[in-house]
Amino acid sequence: MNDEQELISRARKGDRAATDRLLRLHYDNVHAVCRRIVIDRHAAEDATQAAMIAVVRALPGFDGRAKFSTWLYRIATNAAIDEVRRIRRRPLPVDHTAVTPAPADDRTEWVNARLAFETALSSVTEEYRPALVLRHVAELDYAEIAEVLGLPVGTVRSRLARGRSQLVEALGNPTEDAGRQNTPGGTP
Amino acid sequence: MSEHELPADLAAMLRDVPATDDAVREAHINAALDAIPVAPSGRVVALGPRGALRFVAAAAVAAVLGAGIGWSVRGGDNQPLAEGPPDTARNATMTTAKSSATTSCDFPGLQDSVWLGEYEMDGTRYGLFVNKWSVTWYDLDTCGKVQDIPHPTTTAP
Repeated sequence: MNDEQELISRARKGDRAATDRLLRLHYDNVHAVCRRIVIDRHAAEDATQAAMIAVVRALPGFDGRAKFSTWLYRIATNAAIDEVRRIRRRPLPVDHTAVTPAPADDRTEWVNARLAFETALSSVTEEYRPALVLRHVAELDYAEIAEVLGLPVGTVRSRLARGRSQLVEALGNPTEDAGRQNTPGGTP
Repeated sequence: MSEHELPADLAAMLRDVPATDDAVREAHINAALDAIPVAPSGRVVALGPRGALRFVAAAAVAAVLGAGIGWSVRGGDNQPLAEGPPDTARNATMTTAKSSATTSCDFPGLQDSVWLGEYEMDGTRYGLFVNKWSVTWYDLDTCGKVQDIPHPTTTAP
């Protein structure tokens, strides 16, 4: 039994120290998934907290048939999607605090690129964004994404392709396959 | 490049998520830890019992923990769950009870008792036996008897 399995085993029995360590091990990944699906910083934090609590409550029922990370990402993704639905009637704001604008120095281009990216990501349809995030933030393979989202692998592939297309188009570079070289918000 | 994959620089930007404030992280983790179910005087996790016996065990656990379920245990339809102990207990005629738990303990002198289940509380494993009149707790690490409590669903003679 490896360290994580030992932690999971103890956490399932209600061991507070083991649960604490397990949550800390995975907190950043859960937050990153929530942040990229929800977009808004504060709403993403709400989703992260909801996911953490859901993980603790569901742990006694974790039977080990799925990988723990896949199981965890399913909870995180559901929490994030729930949060997105909750705020659906409000436009998703672009979180400009994510990349604090700097004076005109060598960081300006970097900051502008990330602001453009945040804006573009917020324009990707909610249906496609989770697949993109699970693929590139959680680094799951297609089968794992399918398991997390409860979709056939073929649907995952099509959602990834469409999400990618929307993101690239929103960045103003629909023909990037030919070779993008500059910042995502930049003009070729 | 696959049509399903993002270009490397966009994938890198997607992964580049600003970290949470430490205070927010701590608050989230503490809130989650507070969601761990805790019994009144300790944490109890059922390890073994199934079916109808599970309820008797749960009632026994609650009684041991001082939750006061006692004789008034009732089902969700407001009907008594059982007028007496489970059939398995009524039908058993054992002079030395045996558990199905992973323990080497013997439990002599438990007349008409059956193994109810194994529980863990605050890191200690307990075994429960039930007969018509009582539920008996044993510490499975020391094999010592901890407590007899009246059967939660029947009246002691």
